[in-house]
Amino acid sequence: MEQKEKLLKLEELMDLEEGCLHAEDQLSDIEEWDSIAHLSLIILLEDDYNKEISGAEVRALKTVQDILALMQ
Amino acid sequence: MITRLTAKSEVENVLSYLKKDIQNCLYIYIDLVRYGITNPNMMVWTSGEQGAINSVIMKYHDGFQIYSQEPEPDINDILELIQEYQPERISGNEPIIQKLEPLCKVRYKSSYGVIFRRTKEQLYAMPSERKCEFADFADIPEIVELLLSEKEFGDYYTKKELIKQLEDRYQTKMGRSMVIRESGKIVGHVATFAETDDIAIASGSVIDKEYRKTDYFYTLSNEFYDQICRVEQKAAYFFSTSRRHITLFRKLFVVCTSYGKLVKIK
Repeated sequence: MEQKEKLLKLEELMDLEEGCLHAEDQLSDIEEWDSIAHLSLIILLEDDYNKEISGAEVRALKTVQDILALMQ
Repeated sequence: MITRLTAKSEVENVLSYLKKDIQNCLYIYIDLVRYGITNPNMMVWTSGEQGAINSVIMKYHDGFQIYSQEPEPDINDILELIQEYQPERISGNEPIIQKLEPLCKVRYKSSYGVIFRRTKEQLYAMPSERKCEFADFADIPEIVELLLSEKEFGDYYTKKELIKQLEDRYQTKMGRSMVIRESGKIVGHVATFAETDDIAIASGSVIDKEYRKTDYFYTLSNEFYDQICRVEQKAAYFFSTSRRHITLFRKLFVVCTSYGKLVKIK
């Protein structure tokens, strides 16, 4: 899957407008990167990528690139 | 024809009608069970002909709840009551609110959401050491400040109204709040806003903006539903209007019904 499609999934997950997320963005700067987004990411990784990740691991992610790296 | 309920036997009849489809009329059912028609803040009417119930309309404080099992509820009867009492809020299943919306749009704005059911098996697998506790009556003003910081409440309630409702629900054991504190300040909240011995409707799940990147949301949620569903063995329901939350919850919980609200434009 191309990076653009992955970013689109993350934008949907955080209810952000298309094109506003970039790999280098710091998650701490994104207001929508909250506990609902954490849970949504855990489910997305389980359902679409067959990966299990804990809440602590999700909260430790620093950048959008960190998430993109998990989406494969 | 509209008939106001005045006798206990009429209440029993209405409760039987509601119980057949309880997931679609939780708020009316619980309020009627808990408060009955002798409560000064409650008024209940049925619409229908020759003893048959077409719809049930309940007024509690300044809000209306409406329910009908019919595909074509008698909207004129309902409108008559709305015009007479001018409620601040009108709630009910999505189809009935959608029918009322164009007829009330000058004075009311609409919002729609979903009622979910959650079971004891559906806790988030995220253990935490964070302490959650049930709040006291004296915490209500601080809880209301937190709730009003969220659009879902801030757009629809004044501080005075919400304090009155929460105090009323606390005193009648209709609702209770669980909170997380940070240096004594309440920064996380979830509550039941309506309860019977076997049903609980949760609401008011709000985390202070400063703490939304922490694990407080799911810690509080886990502790709360563990108490309600596993310890007390109640069927737990909750309502959400947030599109993002609904997307997530559809994957986790059971969808019961789509629900709508009309709120008077101030």
